[in-house]
Amino acid sequence: MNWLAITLWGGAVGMDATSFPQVMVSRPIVAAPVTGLLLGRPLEGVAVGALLELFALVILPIGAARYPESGTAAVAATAGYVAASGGVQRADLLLLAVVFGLLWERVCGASVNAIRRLNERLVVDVEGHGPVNARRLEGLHLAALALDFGRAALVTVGGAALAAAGLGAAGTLQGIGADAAAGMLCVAGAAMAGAALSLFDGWSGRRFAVLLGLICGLILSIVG
Amino acid sequence: MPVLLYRVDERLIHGQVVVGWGSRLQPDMIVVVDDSLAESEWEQELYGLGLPPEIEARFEDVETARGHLEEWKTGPRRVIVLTRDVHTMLELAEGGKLRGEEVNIGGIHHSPGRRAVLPYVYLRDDEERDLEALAAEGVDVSARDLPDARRVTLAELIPPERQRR
Amino acid sequence: MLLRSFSIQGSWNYRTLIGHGYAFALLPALRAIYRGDPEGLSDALARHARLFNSHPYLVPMALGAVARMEADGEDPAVIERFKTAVRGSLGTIGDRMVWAGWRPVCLLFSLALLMAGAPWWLAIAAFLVIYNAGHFGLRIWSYRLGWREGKRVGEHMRRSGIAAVQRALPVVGAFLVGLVVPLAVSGRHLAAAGVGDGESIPASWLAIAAVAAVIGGYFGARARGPVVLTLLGFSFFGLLVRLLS
Repeated sequence: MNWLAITLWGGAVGMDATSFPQVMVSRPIVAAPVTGLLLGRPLEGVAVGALLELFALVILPIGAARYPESGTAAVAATAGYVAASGGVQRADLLLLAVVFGLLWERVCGASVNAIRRLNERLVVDVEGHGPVNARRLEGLHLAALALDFGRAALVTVGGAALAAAGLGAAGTLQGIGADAAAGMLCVAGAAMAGAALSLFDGWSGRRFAVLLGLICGLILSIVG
Repeated sequence: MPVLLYRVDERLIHGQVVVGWGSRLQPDMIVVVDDSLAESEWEQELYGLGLPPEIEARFEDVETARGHLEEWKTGPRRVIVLTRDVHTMLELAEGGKLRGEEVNIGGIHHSPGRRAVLPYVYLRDDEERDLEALAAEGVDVSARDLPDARRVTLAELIPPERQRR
Repeated sequence: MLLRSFSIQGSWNYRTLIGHGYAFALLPALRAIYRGDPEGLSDALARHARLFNSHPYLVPMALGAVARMEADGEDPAVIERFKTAVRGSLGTIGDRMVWAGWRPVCLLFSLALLMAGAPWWLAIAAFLVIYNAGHFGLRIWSYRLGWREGKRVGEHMRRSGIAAVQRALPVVGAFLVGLVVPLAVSGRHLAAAGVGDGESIPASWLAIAAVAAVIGGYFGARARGPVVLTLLGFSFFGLLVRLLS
């Protein structure tokens, strides 16, 4: 496994989420497939990314104290899945990878909060009323950016190592079995897709648009 | 319909008010009582930007607002009244104008001379006095940033050793 | 300055929120305005490094307008009032329009493409290109508007098409949710990634998935926690049973 690539990519993904440049390569649907690509198994990344994205959709960065960081966790989960699956996609392992991603995103989110408290110390002498040195202000800002990159790289590579070890050990057991795991992932994906409706005022407000979409979606899923 | 909420919040119209309280109380109108804002059209435009189209924003100075209070309390519209600081709310309440009403402290933030009371409430000494004066006008004073948060009473905001009464 | 605005949240902290990043982004303009006046620059920076918050994509508007006001020699007190007035509104508009509108709409579009059978790289590239066209467009537009109008920017923003966009996005989003749900119920998110090698998922699971989608639609974001816990529970239960047998 290419640990260096995972570390750098994880750093970039974590930074993109809030610090720079927010072009949304930090979304699981982007971060995970690129991870797969880096490791030579893009489709494994697509599997993890699509599922974690469905879970990430309903979380809006509005008005809460802390959020899970889904991007770095998706990178770690994908790396673990690729390492453990050994070139064959297995639904039972995929389920474990997704569960790992959903747990690890909380750890990543907590690290974001920690860095924000650290930033408070970093910038505190600039804020206030004394004279402010422009160079120093710039330096501190760039230091904060670098710190965030380091943080993200660390939680990603740590998570990837943990996931690879954990999934590798659990992989021999087959868990609830491949068929049941695929079914569960199907049900979970469907539930979260439905839950996304709350982003757009729910069923009662948008009946017509939802129905139209449902009809098109039904046709697509039968024809395709 | 009575006035749904009297609130002291430095940020005036912003997310907590519009989304947090707005989705719970469903107001038709938000009145900002502030002497300097009432005269500044460009600032009014900026504050009004964050409001959904179904909520009207109004900006009035203290005198005008005092004249309208009865009308709002008894009129058909659902109203939220905002001020930037405790003192303005006290001016609004003077002479028992807000007797029996509840005033919500929603956000007074850190600045030099202010003491931390809650994560979203910092108070100067004179602001503590104003809060007590508000209570003396028959107003029920408490702090709460969002509708689901815990209601913090005046007695908790001002510890006993600092109380004048 | 526009480029620096991309890192506006880089030093996010609980004390000044994005205040430090705001001063960092504004610095090129301040350097030009206070050329040969290091004390003026230092004072201006001290003023601008204070608490500020906004939506990151709309921050360029506040940067442009404040740069214009500083360049015109506006009273610092007025500039401060401008920043106080604008921070809540820009945050609310951006949250609604981008975080709760444009972003999920683009993501759902990408998921729909993927599940409908498009190549995975196309679905992802489409998301990045379309989403960021809007993202960059918003930054550039808001920056120009701010620079052109200064403190009077509010009136022009009200008259812009923002309200229409805010009305249209939820309709498109609801349509896309409708589109994605049947595809997800039939397990296309798994099939698109080659999981299960084209073997179809048994009808009993599809029925459960359909019910789950309805329940998800009813509870919305509140459904997430229980779904995560259910997955977690079943995985551990499965592993435990295998370990013991």
